[in-house]
Amino acid sequence: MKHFYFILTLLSGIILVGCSSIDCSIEGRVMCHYAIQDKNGNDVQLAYPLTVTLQREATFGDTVFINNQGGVSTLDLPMSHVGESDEIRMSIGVTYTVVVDTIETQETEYITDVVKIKKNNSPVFESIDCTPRFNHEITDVEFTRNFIDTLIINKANVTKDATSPNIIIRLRSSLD
Amino acid sequence: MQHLQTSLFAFVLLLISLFPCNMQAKKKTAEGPQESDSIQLFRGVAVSYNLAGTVIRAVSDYGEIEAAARVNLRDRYFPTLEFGLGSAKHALDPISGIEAKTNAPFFRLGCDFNVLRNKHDIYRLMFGARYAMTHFTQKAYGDIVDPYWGGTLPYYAETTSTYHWAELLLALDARMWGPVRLGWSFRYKFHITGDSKDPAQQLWYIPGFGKNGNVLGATFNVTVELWRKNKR
Repeated sequence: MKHFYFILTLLSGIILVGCSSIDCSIEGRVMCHYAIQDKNGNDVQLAYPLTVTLQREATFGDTVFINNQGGVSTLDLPMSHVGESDEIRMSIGVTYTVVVDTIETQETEYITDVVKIKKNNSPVFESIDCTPRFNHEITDVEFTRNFIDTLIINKANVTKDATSPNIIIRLRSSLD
Repeated sequence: MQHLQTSLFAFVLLLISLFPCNMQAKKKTAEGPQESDSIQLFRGVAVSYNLAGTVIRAVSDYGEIEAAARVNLRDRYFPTLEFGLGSAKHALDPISGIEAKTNAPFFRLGCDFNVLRNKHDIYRLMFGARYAMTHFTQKAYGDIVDPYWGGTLPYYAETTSTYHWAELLLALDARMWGPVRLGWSFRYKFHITGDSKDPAQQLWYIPGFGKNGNVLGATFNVTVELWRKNKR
């Protein structure tokens, strides 16, 4: 009988110590948050559909992340895990009517800007059961000025926290 | 919820295993002669080894090789030093794609209090407390895929911590053969101070404490009394 209680005690101890659970955060992705504003700093929606392409290494080829999305006022774009800089191509399709010999046709002209974000990357470890991720610190931005007037680094640290935009895109006056 | 059910199940098992031992202890107390308490302060020294830690290390990703030394004062108070080596190594996880490991010594210092009425009995039912500390480095590494920008990239995250915690324990042990005693302790642990040096790196396993966030623990000790005073 003594041995029975010995084994019972040992087993219960092992079960107790062996309890475990997986506790990964639901929002596992780290995204760079963009807000769109007019030249005066008011939040606006883009009047034209937006296409965003991630300029990846030649081996992988570029990838379209957003395709002709209308009414965009905010954006969540992924950052590369360990790249020193990310290059993103943003295009808006401006559609206008052309009349030739009384025949009206719709034509779309794409206005494109290239945004280059320089950053530092730091690995994040949440749990062995959770997909690892990287936080980023934006150090600088470079951009062309076709439909973008200016880019402002609002919050340099890019984490899971999506409460405020990391980058503010201010549009040229003609696109407000 | 499942975690809670498992903990509850284990706790009930512990209570069941404790119950008959207590009954036997009470019986012995009733039968034994009434002893006065005029005994000398120093009653002996014992060393013990935690079998549960070794078994858990053998069958899971983490565990402790742990020993202890304790002094017997009047069969009532037992100042105790526990020390060991805690280690964890998680093999490549098929979901997260990373491995993690840590390895460090730890110690716990405290005292147990024998609450049985007949404190000279072969059984002891004790309450105790511990202060514990460890300093360790945690490494996580592997190759991970960048889902948007493409490619498989090396991942390496390292952090250090000096971790302090306390434990409250309920322990039972009994003399089995000559100087050999067997017993278990059931512990509630709580963090005092110290955390990951890098806030972006969560602690996974803390040597001596167990998995981060697990507040319950247990040990199963084989104890050898190196020297004991049997007579008053």
